[in-house]
Amino acid sequence: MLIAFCPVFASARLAAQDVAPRVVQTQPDAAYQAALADVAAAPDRAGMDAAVSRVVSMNEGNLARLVPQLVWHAAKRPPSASAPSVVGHVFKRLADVKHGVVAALAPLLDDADTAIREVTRDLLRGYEDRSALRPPDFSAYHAILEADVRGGRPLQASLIAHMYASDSGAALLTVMRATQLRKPEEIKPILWAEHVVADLMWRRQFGFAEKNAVDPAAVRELDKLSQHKAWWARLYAAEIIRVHPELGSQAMHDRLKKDVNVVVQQAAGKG
Amino acid sequence: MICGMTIKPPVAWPRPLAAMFRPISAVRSSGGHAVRVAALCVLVGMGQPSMLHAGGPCDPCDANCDTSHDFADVPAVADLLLLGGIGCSPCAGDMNADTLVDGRDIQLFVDCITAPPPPMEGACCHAAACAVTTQTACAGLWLGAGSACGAGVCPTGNLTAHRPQRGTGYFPMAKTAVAEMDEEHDVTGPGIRINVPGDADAQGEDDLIEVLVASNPPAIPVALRREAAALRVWTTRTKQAGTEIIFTNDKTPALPLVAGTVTVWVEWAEAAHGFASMALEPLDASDPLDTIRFHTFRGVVMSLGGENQVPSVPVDPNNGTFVVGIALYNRGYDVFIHDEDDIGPDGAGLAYNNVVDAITNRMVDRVAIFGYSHGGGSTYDLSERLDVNRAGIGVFEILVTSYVDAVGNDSDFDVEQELRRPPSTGWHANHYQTGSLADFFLDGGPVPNSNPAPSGLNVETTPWGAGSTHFQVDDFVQVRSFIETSFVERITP
Repeated sequence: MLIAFCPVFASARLAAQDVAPRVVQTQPDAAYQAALADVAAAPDRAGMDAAVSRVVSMNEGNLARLVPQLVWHAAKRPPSASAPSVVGHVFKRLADVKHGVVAALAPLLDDADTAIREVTRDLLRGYEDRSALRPPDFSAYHAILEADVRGGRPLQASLIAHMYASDSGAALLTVMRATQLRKPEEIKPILWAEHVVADLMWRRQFGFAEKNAVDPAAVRELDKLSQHKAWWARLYAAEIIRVHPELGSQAMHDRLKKDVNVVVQQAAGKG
Repeated sequence: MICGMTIKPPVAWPRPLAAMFRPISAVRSSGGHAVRVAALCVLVGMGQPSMLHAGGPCDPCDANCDTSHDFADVPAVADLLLLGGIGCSPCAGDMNADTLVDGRDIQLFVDCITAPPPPMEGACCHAAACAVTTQTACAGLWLGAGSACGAGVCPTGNLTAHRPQRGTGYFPMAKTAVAEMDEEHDVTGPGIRINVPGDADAQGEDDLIEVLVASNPPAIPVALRREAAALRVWTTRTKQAGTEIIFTNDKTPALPLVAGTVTVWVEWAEAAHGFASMALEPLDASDPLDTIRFHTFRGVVMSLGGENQVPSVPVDPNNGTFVVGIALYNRGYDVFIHDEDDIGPDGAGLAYNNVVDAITNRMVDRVAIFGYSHGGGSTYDLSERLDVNRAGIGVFEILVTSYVDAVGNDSDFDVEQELRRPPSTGWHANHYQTGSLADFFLDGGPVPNSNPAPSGLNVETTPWGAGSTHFQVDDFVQVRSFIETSFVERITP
């Protein structure tokens, strides 16, 4: 029975790696919006702090309800000098629950409203702790994707696209781990490909190679990934050669543009 | 012997001598005096008169009183010799001043009308003044024999250089002419970017300097003279093929002026820093009408605005950071004004690309960065990225930086104070205020090792800054002046 179930489980895992379109429509909640207006109208610092506390504690601190209201407040209220600051001060109060905030933000990447999607992307970038010194912190995204995989839910394509647009290498490794690969022979080719490409980028960045230097090894690894069974691996190849077309062959370009996965197609088509 | 007379030939006979004479057969008499001239020859005026000009109160050689010494005087002299009488002037024909017109005057008369003309004089334009001189004595432009000085005869000219462009034009700067008083100054004069092969201007060629040439009167051709071969001149801003004005011995041919003006584009085409003058002068003289002096840019200045501060022309006076940027631009610096959105949380973006391009392709080796609010946070991020990537960029120094109420810029909603000193800066200024309800508690704060020492200035501790808000602190003239003065003291263009 167990053996019989394994293939089922394996195929379910593969199915979980597929993506499905999601649609979200954020609507304003009068109570939250009024509470946020109170923050803006606070008479002094103590009053502001108290108002922020009230907002944060509404509905027992339910981030899944609070965070969309903050995003709506930032994106949809009439422009004012205070709106970004109101939102900023509330998020600052939530600094200790970063993963929870990111988990509440991520679905808004699929909101029907363009302004809400833009604000969401901007806020998410703020949680990635980006710096020239280190790659972005995708740990919160990893948690979201892993939960989807374990729950048998499709991966969130918009979140993965956001990650790859931020840092393709960090995104590839994060998604690989989130999809629960276990066999070294499955993990190592992906690790190696990312390492070879990253090494070329490092050499270019610090002057050990010309800015447009081509490493045949990197081209080979990208070609292999462009034919990988996992769409998120093929997406890495598409993103890399979109930014660095000199690392892709025409065959690779053509293959990725016709990929069965729409996210990969879109990434390849932008190049 | 000609016509029975021994006539000494003058230095230069304009025509064969015999052809100039024809014998007269008649004997003329006048007033009872018969003058037998059996074989008297008279000079017959033929062809062009020599270019002689008679001057003085009485000119015996100018026998017909037409102010010239030429063959037209011959009949008058002949009449005086043969008929006597009185000439058109008291001394007409009396070449030896003995009160008689006789054979002793003939040789002198021949010498006079056939001798080489004395040097002619004309208007000489030199050093913005005009004087009548001979051509050889003229140190400037000689307008020709017989020309006279007067209003508008001497050429005047002007070169007007402009501050550098960005991309396809000047935005976000206004097109700005270098002031006349600055145009030969090594610092505040026209700066120019080194432009050599390999300089990849992402937005197209924008390293040439626009120079307006004006000259008057249009009929006098003018040219450019360069001090160094590094300077090349084009009639198009993008160096289109066939539009270069070629220098020969460091001077151009006549400039193609239309209605007295032409716009040219000047390029610094050598991979070496320096200074070089360019002068406008008459084509036919080396007398400068106007001069401008270029200095190559060794530095680049990045001005980063706050949230919702968008570069504009004219500049919004409430965008203090941009006001300072423009002031430095007008003082001869290569300034880039950026919206803070042009810098990512990791320092990447258009501003970073502009700095790297300047260092790797234009031999820039000194950088200055200043920002307000989120632009202050971006000042840190940009400095950090430049510092981290030095090995791949080249040799440079971040000589000076500045924050005004700096706020972290990880997102548009970041409200964290930016309290870190930008990495590797040589000198850092910091101004801030204490947030209040009026600015929703947005503020910067003290930054270690910044100026005024030890950690910057809370402007609210000053009489002029008391009660300041986040939205005002970048506009105080005291803050702007401090930044501008500090930068000018520490980084040359």
